[in-house]
Amino acid sequence: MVNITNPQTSDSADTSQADVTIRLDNVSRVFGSTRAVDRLSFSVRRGEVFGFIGPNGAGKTTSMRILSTLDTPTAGHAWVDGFSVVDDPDRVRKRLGWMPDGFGTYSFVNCEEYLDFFARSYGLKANDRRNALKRVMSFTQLDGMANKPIKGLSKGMKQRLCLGRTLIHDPSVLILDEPAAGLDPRARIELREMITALAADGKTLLVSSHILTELAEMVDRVGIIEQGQLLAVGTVDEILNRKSVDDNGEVEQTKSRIQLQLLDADPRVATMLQQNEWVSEIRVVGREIKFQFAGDQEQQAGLLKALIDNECRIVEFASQRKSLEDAFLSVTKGRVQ
Amino acid sequence: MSELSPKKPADVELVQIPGSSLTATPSSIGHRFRDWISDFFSSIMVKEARQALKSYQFFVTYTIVILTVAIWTGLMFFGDSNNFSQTNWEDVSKNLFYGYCVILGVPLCIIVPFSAFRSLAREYEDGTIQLISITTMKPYQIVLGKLSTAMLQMVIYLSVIAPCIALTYMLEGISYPLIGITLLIAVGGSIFLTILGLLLAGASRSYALGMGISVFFVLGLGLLYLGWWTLLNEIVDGYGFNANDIASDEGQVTTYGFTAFLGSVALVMLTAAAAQISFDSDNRSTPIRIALLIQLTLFLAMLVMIAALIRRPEPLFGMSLFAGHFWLVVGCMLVSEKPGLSDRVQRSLPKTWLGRSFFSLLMPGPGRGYLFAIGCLLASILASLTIGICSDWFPILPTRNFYGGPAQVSLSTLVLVSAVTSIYPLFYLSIVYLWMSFLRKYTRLQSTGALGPFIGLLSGFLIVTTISLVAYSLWVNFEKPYGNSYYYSNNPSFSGCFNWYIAIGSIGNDVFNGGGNLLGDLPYFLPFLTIAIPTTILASLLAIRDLRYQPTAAPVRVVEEIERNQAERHAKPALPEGESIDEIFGALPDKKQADE
Repeated sequence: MVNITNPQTSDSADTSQADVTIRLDNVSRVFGSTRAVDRLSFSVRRGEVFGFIGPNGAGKTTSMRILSTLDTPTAGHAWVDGFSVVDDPDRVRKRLGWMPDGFGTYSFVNCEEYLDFFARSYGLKANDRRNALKRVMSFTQLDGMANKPIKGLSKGMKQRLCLGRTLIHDPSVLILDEPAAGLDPRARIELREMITALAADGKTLLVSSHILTELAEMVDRVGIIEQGQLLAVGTVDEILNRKSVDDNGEVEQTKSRIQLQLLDADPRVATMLQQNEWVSEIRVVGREIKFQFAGDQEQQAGLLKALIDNECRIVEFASQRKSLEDAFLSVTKGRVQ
Repeated sequence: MSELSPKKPADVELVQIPGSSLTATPSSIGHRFRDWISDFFSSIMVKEARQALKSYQFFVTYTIVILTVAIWTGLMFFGDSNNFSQTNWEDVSKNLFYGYCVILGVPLCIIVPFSAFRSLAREYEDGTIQLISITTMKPYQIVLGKLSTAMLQMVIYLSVIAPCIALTYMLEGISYPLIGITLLIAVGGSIFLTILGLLLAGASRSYALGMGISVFFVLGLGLLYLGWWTLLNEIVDGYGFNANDIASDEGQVTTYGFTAFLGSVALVMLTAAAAQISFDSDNRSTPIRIALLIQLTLFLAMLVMIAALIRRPEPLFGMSLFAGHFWLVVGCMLVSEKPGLSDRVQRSLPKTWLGRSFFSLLMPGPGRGYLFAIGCLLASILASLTIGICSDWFPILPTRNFYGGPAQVSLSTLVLVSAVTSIYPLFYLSIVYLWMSFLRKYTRLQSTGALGPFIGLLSGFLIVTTISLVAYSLWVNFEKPYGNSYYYSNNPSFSGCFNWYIAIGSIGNDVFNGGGNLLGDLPYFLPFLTIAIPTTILASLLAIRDLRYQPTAAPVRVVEEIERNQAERHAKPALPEGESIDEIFGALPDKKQADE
């Protein structure tokens, strides 16, 4: 008998992280001279919705393809539900549903036949297949469209069908690449609700999207990727409150934007604001004043009290929090490969 | 599947799509039966059959075939209506059969293989192959699904022609063995071309490449279709191709040999087509090598058949020569495989000494590929040599020479022929193996993926051609074999000894012209042997290093799942997958429920 060694993969995917469903460990993918993914590491817990955002060409789709067992990493390891995507693709595929950016379609096939084909391809037989079709078509609200040819479907309907195909074998992990791209607002809302329902059902979701406002409302955590590298990862709040480092290497204070509406124009307000140590970038347009505020909420309340105590006639004092888009823009530099 | 229900947003009412109740629930016995029976077929076949039934292409082709058959039948029967009573029905029968086969050739030789090619190529172009490949379907199931769809089409086209062919038999112009053989050639050829199409489709990774391959493939199919016409002429006219020819000993050997060769090549192509779809870490090599082993077994069976039926030594030499060329070509591709073994493959490596001794050569890797190829080559040559030697001992074995007289093949001739047919391909293959090892080390050859075997084949072709041409030039310059006439001398020489064909020519000349002085020729090969033997030993030593490997254990998570699945399997009663007949037909919704 020869000695049998335990592969590194078995140690890495240790059971102490049983709650982790998706895990990437220093994954890199190189195409010729282009490093599409560069030492990417993150993990997604069971039942979590993880948003994956980054500019075009950042490496999102490549990472998702690796997780979906369509590509192999040049270096590093990735696991889905504890199984290596490289060494156990068959086991991963049973657990995983992948919804690509583009929509793979067949001519002369209707919605029901399309889903039926994939149900058969996943090995579902007779009753199991019929039940799966029924549930999926009901969930995606395509049950009235069963006999409609795919070619005649709207973009939103196609996305539903694509999601239906992804769900046909009841995967526990879903990887959705730009599911909301090209959808109208109503279709986006419906898709968001479906994703929320899937998360409530205990499924783990990795969702990439360019529509950050949509993503912010449905995800538990976000990862921001650029040039193949993960720049930030955490909850949306954590990302928003993240102190960024400027080009000189100094830590920038997190700022919020405040909009002040006065009953009538009052030059004293601008003067008072200029004297406040937390205020910067003051812009006065008639009765409206906008400025950046670096202090916390208590200091914000103190500023408002000071203005009122000085008999400034304030109609509106609105603190606008940074959005995910702001965070995205501040974290990324818009560089593409 | 767990119950899913999209949560309705509080502030937005979801669009309720009007329509009938879900059609996924079959409401009739017929529907349920179709659904149940379709479970026995490939999902790809079911989908493509549905597509074909709705497509114009299939409808148009099918209609054209029916119309053409009808027109041809009408022309043959009523074309010469003035002399209807004096019609030679035997000739009519032959002409009808010829025409039907020409018509049948279009779908079987062109449409079906090209449709299969396009079907798989389109999956690559549209990206749907990715959607299929991440299902639980295995790559070979995908390829077999495409093949079964093509075979279904063949059956449909044959069903149009079958009654007409029966008519030609009834008119007594053509015998049923010839009808059977013709249809077998048509269907077998169509299956072979379909598999070739599926293999080529795997290389169509981009639209441009796919179109380029499409053009060449359809042109090739067109040429083969012309060849089919020629073959039909031979069949119908009975010149050089009739039932008696096939029934003879030589005919049987040729037929079985040709069929076995094409069948085994089809098997290798099928495994290669599946390998193209498979995942990077999959073991792509072992199925191909098993198919090659089947090919080797058929080759050995053919040797025995030649010995038993033809009983002449020359075909054995021909088979040895064929084996030399074949394993050189296959070897060039095998030595170009990726050198590393994925963890997945390492898990499946034989763990016992016995297992390693027998199965290591079936595992992926250039070194193992080299050893596998030379092992198969030597097995073929040695089998041929053994049968030749045994001919002196057993009366059923080769006893006649080329001219029908008693065998005059000496042991030294047999050994020398075997040596020439094995040492040259061994040498060339060793050079290719060393060259590919060099390329792997100093270039980015490893990242060429599926192109690797083609690079190996091209390298092999260039290396063998260069060595042969240089040797040929030297031979022509120094030996002046043509002298002052167009007849060249076959005398062995130092200068031409690196050229395999010059060596074969000189040995063959001695064998077929009274034996000659074969042992006396040996010194002329010394320069070649001085280089070939060390080169082969060096390549073999390098390749043997690949046999050392470290099997790995399955990860804990995998072992856990296997154990859990086994426990579940033992706990469950052995029911068929899916459902029972009672479940299919017993639980139909009542009319009221269906109406609701």
